[in-house]
Amino acid sequence: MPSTVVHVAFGLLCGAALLGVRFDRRAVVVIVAACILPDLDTFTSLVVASTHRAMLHSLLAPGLLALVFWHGTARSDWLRVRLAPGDVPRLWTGLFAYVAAGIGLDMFTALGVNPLYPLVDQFVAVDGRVGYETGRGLFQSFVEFPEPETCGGVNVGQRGSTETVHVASGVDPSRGAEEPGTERIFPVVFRGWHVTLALAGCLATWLGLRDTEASA
Amino acid sequence: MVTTLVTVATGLLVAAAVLDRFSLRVVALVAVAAALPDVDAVLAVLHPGLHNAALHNVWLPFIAGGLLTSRRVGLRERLGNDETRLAWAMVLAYTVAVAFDLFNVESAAVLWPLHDRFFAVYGQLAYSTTEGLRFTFFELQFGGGELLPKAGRGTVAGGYVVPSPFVTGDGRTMRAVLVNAGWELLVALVAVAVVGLRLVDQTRGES
Repeated sequence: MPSTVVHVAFGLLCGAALLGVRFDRRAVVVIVAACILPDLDTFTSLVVASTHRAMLHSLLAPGLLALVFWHGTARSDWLRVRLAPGDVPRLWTGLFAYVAAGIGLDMFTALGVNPLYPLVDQFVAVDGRVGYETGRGLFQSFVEFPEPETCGGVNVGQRGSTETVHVASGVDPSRGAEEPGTERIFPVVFRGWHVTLALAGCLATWLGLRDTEASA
Repeated sequence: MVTTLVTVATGLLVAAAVLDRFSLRVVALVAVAAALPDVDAVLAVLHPGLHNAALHNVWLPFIAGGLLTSRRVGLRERLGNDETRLAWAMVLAYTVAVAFDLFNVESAAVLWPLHDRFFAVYGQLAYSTTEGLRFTFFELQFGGGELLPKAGRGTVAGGYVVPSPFVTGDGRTMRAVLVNAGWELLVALVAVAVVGLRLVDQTRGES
């Protein structure tokens, strides 16, 4: 549910943490692009109905990219020869940010993503609590198992297919064409933790770049 | 409402971003710094108002930062470069942990004991095509009275209490939450992955 701004900030936090001394401006560009990329499916949603959170939030998209990177840098070198030195770790870090920040933050909040689209058309929102309570013991609500007498399946937060679920965005607020004058909302932050993650991301980026440029 | 697991995970991510050298010792020290604010949940046994007040403040990082930069104290010379950076990373991890409770409905008395007031800064920043810019985090009020009327909660002296798992109402049921929401689990998983990769990278670089 977080906005693209929060995705980018969390992606930069992950990227700066992964790359350490190798975190530089070029890495920032790669990571920012990687975190914006999944949200471009707000536009595919205009063409193929309700594919925001499905088309580019499918894990198949970064999976394909990983195959391409692996083939172009490890298996043969058609991609490596076209890259500047040090670009290979930047690309893999960008891919990590794509999955962890771009897809992950949406998948682990209320509206979920469609992680295997188009192979399996099912939105999933991984949400729940884990804790301990006297008398009840350890408890968790991420995965709910059906009662033995009912024949329901395991509940991991399935929400339905693109036929029934439409995740609204400023670009495509509802399924089908909108009336002129429809309110379109472009959020930046709307939860306290969005603010903290955004600040932590900015801090990590600033300090990470400062160190890299001081030592260069 | 943001659990200690998440403050530790985020603290470790920030530390990994600012530190060149990463080791298990660094992980342990940063984790302690990020968990420190939540120790006041235990202090709440002494006085229930101390939770989110006693150790959730801006003064500790200010004092630590002052000590680390002061030439007269000379911590920088005594500790050396690497240890000074580690100390700064710990200060950042602590600050991020406090920020999680300040930017939350749960509230934290970050100016306590100098100014006794719990603050909860949360709201929306968004652009709407019909309403324009929407900003509801706080409303400053300069005409006397409270500065942040929307964010202000009660006071420690006034008996305002953020419920602590260590203070049980009926004397029996204790409830401690490790993960409160999906995103918290994600941040924890990501921190484990990033810290693991950094440690592996480091050992490979040294051998």
